[in-house]
Amino acid sequence: MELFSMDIYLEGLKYFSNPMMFLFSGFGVLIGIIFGSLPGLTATMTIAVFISFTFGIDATLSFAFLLGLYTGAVYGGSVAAILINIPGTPNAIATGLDGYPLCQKGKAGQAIGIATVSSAIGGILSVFVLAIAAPMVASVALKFSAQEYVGITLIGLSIIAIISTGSMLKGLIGGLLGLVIGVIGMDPITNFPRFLFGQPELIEGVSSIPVMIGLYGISEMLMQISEEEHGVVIDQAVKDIIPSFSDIKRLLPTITRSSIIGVIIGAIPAAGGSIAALVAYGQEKRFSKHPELLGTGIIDGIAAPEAANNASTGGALMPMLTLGIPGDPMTAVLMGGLIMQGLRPGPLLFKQQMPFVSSIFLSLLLSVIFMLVFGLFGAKYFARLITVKKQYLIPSIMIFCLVGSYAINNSTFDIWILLISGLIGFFLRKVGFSPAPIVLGLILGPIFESNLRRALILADGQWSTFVTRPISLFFLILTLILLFGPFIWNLIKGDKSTDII
Amino acid sequence: MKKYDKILGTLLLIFAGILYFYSGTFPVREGRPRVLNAGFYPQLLAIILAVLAVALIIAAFIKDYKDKGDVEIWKNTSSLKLFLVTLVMLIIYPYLLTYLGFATATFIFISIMIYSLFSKEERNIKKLGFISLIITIVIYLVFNEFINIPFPTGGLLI
Repeated sequence: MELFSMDIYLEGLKYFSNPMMFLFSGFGVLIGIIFGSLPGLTATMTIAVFISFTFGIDATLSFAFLLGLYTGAVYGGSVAAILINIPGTPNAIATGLDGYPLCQKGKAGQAIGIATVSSAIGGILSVFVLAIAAPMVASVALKFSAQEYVGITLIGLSIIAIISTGSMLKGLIGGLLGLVIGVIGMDPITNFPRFLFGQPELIEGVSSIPVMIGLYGISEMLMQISEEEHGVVIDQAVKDIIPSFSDIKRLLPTITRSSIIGVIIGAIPAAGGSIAALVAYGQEKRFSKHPELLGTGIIDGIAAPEAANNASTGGALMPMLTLGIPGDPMTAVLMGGLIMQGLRPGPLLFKQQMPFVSSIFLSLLLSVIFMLVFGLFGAKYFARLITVKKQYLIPSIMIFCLVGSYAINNSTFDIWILLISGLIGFFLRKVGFSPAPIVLGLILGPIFESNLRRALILADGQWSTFVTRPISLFFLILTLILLFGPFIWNLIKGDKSTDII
Repeated sequence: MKKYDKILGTLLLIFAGILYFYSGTFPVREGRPRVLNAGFYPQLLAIILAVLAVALIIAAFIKDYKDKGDVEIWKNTSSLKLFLVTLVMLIIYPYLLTYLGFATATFIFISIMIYSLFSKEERNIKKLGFISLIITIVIYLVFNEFINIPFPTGGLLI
């Protein structure tokens, strides 16, 4: 199929003759905003918890819903950041810097309004960049063979190890543990059953969805239980949300600049929205006419990070869809959803399932529009949700996790996988691990093993096959630079303060 | 962190050892490249894991000179108690689900959890029971009626 014609985008439109697409998308955005705005419920967790309910639903419908969740949750995080200075999701950390001071001035409505419009503009721009650039990246990636995929997987795992919280060494160990869990099940080459421990359910491998719900959902709830409680109070009415045209006009350069930053940073595997938002906020300090006012509660300081973090959503989907390497934990979980639907992300998806891919672009666009509408007209109701007591929230979320795991195969076996992962995730988090590398390792594991062994079999077991192909060699060198570059750089400069351990 | 790092590093090293030797018992095709064996890839992972585990232990010893203080897993004994109650509830939930059905299991889980999460002074049995019931009904309607997940009916037939 020709990858550079307008037809490819039109093919996805046919799915939208089904009104359920709009319903699922809107419903997804609504739930996403609600969960995203509740402090302690991250966007990743929201997607992980709900993904199992999309099992058995048509892939286009389920992705209309999931992308709605994704967009809604990333946006919803900013509501909590503005109102109570607790970012609902990590993506909203920078939003609180000016959002909360503005809220303290009694202008919470204005802050949320600017956040909504900036998010929407950033989101729309990112959909267009994704729709234009992704098929191009995919057509290049079509030429990759097993050796190159080994390199790309290593890059993905290295970056997530570097970016995630905790030390890089722990990030790498986490990624490796994920790969080890991925070994369980039938060997892809010889069909020999490995590490089944007498459980026939494991023959297909450990199902990644309950592991993800356990690592993000159950372990997060256990974390909150093991820590002190904080009640929150909001004592102001959220009003005057719809921003004035003159404000938007004045902020347009900031929003455009930050959106571009967001798209680019989002597309770097594993960099993600929180970094995009912080970089955009930093750039705003350089470009602003009144940098000294940033942090005191001005709308410029909300527009920049909000445009960037929503613009990163499209960017983050790019490496996941085109290469099968997720851009951040959220897209890693979304990739789990694709695999659950029997779809394998990567360049072949563009070649074989282009109508589905273009429905993804359109669903993402639709969810941004829903986000704008719900945000501008519903924010005052979402604001009230933040005060829901954790005592009610934690047990309810746990039931969602339990039921979600059960619903995948209607078996309690997956509940046990959930609980084991949740408990392991809790202890690993407590000793400084992040769940992201484990999830990524688990999802990439089977693909990594097949590619690694296929490449080696073709080369008669010679490891040199990975360095004799130029693109594969380039990826390996890039991995080494990523892992050891900062360390060696500091060694040369004589600065020992940053350590990789 | 360092104390836990040493314990964790040692556990990971032992795990890597078990993984390596157990994978060695998988069938081997003589005279063919080793990559064809089912144990090849897990053994490779075990070696890398062992190297990283040793690095974690060494790093923990180096850090001994740098920083003092360790993280506490639980803030105090009451949070440990709460954690244990939660754990027990999570573990018995699948059994409750199988034997009592979804609605009853969920009500028991929600009400005990909400009761345990509130401090002694805030516990108002009537209010918490009522809210638990409302939450259970909402969850039941969403999952059983709307999403239509086929739960085991259990002894009480709901």
